[in-house]
Amino acid sequence: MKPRVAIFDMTSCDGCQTTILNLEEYLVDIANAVDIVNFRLGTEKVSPGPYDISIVEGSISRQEEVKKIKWIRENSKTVIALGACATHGGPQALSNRLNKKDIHKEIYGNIVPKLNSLDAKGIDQYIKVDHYIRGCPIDKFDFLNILKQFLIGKIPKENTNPVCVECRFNENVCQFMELGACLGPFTYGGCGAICPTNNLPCDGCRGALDDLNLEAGIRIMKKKNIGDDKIKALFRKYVPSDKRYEKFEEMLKNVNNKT
Amino acid sequence: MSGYILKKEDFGKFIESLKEEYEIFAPVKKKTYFVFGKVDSAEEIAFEFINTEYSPTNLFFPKKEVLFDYNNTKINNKKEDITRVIFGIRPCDVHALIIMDTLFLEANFEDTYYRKKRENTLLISLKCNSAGENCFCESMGTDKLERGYDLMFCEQGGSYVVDIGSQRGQKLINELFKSTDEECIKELHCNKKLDMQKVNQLEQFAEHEGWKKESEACLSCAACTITCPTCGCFDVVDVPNLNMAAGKRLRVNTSCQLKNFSEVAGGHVFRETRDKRFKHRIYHKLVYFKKQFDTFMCVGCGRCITNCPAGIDMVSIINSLK
Repeated sequence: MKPRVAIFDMTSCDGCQTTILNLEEYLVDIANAVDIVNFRLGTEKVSPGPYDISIVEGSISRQEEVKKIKWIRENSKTVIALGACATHGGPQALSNRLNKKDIHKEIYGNIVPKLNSLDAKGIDQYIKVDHYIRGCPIDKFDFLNILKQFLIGKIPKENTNPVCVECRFNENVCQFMELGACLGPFTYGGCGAICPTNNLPCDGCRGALDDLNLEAGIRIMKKKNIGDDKIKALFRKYVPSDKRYEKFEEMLKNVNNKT
Repeated sequence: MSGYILKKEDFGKFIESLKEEYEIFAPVKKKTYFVFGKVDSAEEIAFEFINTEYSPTNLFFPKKEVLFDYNNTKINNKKEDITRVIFGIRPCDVHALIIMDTLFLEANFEDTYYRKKRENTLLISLKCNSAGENCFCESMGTDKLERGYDLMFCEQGGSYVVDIGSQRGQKLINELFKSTDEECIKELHCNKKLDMQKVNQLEQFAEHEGWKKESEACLSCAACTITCPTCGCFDVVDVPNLNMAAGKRLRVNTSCQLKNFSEVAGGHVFRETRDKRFKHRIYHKLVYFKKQFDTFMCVGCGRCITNCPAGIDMVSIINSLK
């Protein structure tokens, strides 16, 4: 029997799910290999659990989603976090540092619907996650590769290299050395260094590496005359819900005190 | 040995004559960097380089390489049959290939993928006119080249003095070249000097506190090893097709600077801390490899210094060990 695969979404832009649909030439092969039983963007069919593999896009940002994600976990053998929102909060987690009442008023005016909103967090803040497919959006071949590994019964090995590895494979000019404002050395690789290869500095969308040397990095950025606000903005964009962000502010202060 | 002389005005014609039989790779400009790229004419070649940011070893040992593909029980490992000429490879980088030969051709196991590319490629080396700020080939003894090249070009005024290094090289000589007794000697002087006495004492400094201190600046981005012309560590990765019956096996370059490099089954990491990884690269280059093969695994090209975003300089670190 083919594995039952369900794709769910929480708070997100649907971009990662769309990226799955962009795997056009492989869609028939995917449909032959697995049974897609739940995929809002791809099929009207909705099947109840249990599922072999659940792929979840989006951050947990509302009370209802906490219940939903726990239900998904209980009904799935394997749970995969799909994209930056699900892996570590995504851009919407920027609002975690602001007053929710003020934001709601700004957006909805005086009649604010009942939102039950929470700080936007990655799904692993609530449940155990078996694998992470990173990026904003994800890389479609990264997705395909990880799916195949699950299909042959392998637990995929997470790519824990910094973006720099593939960037150097592509013989690129180092944007971090040129500009300083590139997050390649601090960010999970696996994207093929698509941004620096196309002359854009790394935005850090795949999230902050486990093995990162933030303090040394901040020191280099400051040497390149990048101001504190810019450094904060760079790191905030995709790592706001990362616990290490608190430490990051401390580090920035430390580097400032030392220099 | 009498050599040949090629007028610069005939260089374009020489490249044209090579094109009939070979693909030509030479230094080309990529924004602010120099890299080796495929060229179709002499005009595309960048001559103003001291050395390229990325090493020509990549042409023999690609960062990602398909070892074979398979379909059910059929395995296809047909290797590419393209004959190539690399023009403009610096003497230090030829030395790097000689070191890679030690590892991949002469040691216990022969790497047939590497051998095929070595056999299919002719090297036209180009002597350096001057040393770059991070070059320390003089200390490593790799500024001079006695073997390993097919032709050696040396710029002298409006001509190149050409030395023949092999029979294959001799065959490239055509009517554009004239015999000469002239010699072209370039005395290179590197400002950067590695204290070889310190290098020979490195083992005594294995527990030195300096490694920890210096590694605090390291981002573990792996630029040093990826751009190193003698780093050949790789991982093997299988990429099956969705039908599971076919797929391919790749080898992908990896780096001792990464934490996952020394991870074994069960999740134990042998070199977990940054200072251990930091020290390992330097010790492998200058101590362990020397013990095993009686040659250093470093040619003093300085790429690990040039390409380090943190400005880490192996030479000054070793020189200042006390």
